Amino acid sequence: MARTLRIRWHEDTSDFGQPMPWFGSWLIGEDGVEGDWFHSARGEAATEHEVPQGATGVRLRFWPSEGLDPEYVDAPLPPGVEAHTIDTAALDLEQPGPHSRLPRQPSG
Amino acid sequence: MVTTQLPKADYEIPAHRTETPGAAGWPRTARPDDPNKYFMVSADCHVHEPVDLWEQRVDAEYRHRLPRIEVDEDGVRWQVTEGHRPTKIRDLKLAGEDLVRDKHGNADPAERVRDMDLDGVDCEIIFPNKGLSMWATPDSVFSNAMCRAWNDWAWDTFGPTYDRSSPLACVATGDIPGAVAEVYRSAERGFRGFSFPAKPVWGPTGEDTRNYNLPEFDELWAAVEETGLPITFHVSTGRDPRGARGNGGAVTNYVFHSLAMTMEPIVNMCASGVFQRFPRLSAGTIEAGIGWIPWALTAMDEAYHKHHMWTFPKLEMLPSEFYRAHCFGSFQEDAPGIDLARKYDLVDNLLWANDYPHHEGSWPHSAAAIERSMGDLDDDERAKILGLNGARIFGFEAPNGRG
Repeated sequence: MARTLRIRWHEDTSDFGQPMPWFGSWLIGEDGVEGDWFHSARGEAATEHEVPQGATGVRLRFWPSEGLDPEYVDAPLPPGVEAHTIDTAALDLEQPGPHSRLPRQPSG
Repeated sequence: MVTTQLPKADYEIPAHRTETPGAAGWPRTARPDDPNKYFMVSADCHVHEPVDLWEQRVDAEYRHRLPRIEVDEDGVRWQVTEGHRPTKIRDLKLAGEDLVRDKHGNADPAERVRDMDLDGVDCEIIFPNKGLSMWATPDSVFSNAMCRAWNDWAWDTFGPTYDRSSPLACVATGDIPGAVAEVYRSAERGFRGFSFPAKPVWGPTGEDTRNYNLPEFDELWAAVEETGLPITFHVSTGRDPRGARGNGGAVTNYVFHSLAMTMEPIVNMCASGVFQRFPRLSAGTIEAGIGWIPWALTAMDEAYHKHHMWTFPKLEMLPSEFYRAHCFGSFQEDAPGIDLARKYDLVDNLLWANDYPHHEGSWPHSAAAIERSMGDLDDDERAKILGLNGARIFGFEAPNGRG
């Protein structure tokens, strides 16, 4: 039986006064490498996706400032769960993720 | 001093953008409302790419390496790109015309044409905006993957309006087989030229790093020559231009680490015989200014003569002669370079640009900027620098009688 992921993408406004862009892709393996992407849209949405074989989580990118690179959050998919739901409004966006590329003490 | 006509604005426009000595005695001007306006090609404009262009289009194996913002344990945000040191995100609030410029330059061909008309521009050459960081990785294969994504998008977006708005094909030259393939693919599509990084492999220069003077690039030069299209080297490609930090860093980084460094590929090509081996090749610098060109030509020839005991290969022409025959440079406002153009026989090598919509540029006050610096040129010289040289190099058609 296929696993299902439901995502509720919350409404936010970008620095350009537009609904904030969201982008979702699958994480595969344990090193933060990505597979296909499955969502690219602005603003609030509720989507449902069949989880592909080998997916271990999702990477959800968003652009609060459309002039800069994306921020992102990684959310694991709990193994063995048939149907999983992610509410982006409930995710912690203020902590480094497990695949952060930031050196321990950046300078700049 | 008089001020040019401007669109009504509810903010103050700094005098350094609008002041002009006027155009008295000019048979025609760069003013958008002049019925006899010069034909104008802006050789350097930029486009804000869709935010998720690379996320959507790059090969999936590279997506996790794309630039992104990371949060540290204190909640501070950092911009992370493979070739740059992490940069703390600062809350930069723009206002007035700075904010206007920031919101223009979008990937909307109709909006761009309106903005070109507002500034008197007939045709534009488009370079990336955020995409300038496509070369910011020491992995040129990854870089080429990003370039291919940009080229696909750019052609999809601007192909229908290519007679006025023409992006150049971006190529990562450190990956020579990939670069050759992209050169042919882009030429077949119809691009007017190429945007190469100022250094083939990202990072500081060293004697062991690949550079354009080396014969291993002959395969690439041969491919480009076969297409008949020009090569451009845009500033701030090839290495991190933020070499200075702290007091004076913004000025030092602009003048030295961004602009001055861009002369390197041109000097490499003129001095190493590239144009002798590939006589139909042309190459130029973009946004690097032009005041340095007379000095660089003089310095190249001086080295060629006085260091003859160390100089190889021996060339059939002086490096400066190769420059005049094969090279070009774009500028926005560079009065010293304009002042020396005639004296150093460079009128055919210089390309005006408004750098739309960037702050270093002159949009939407280009006529004033042109009048500030080009008063000592004659009408034919202005016509060449403002548009005819760009039309010749990039293959735009100048309307009859407007050259």
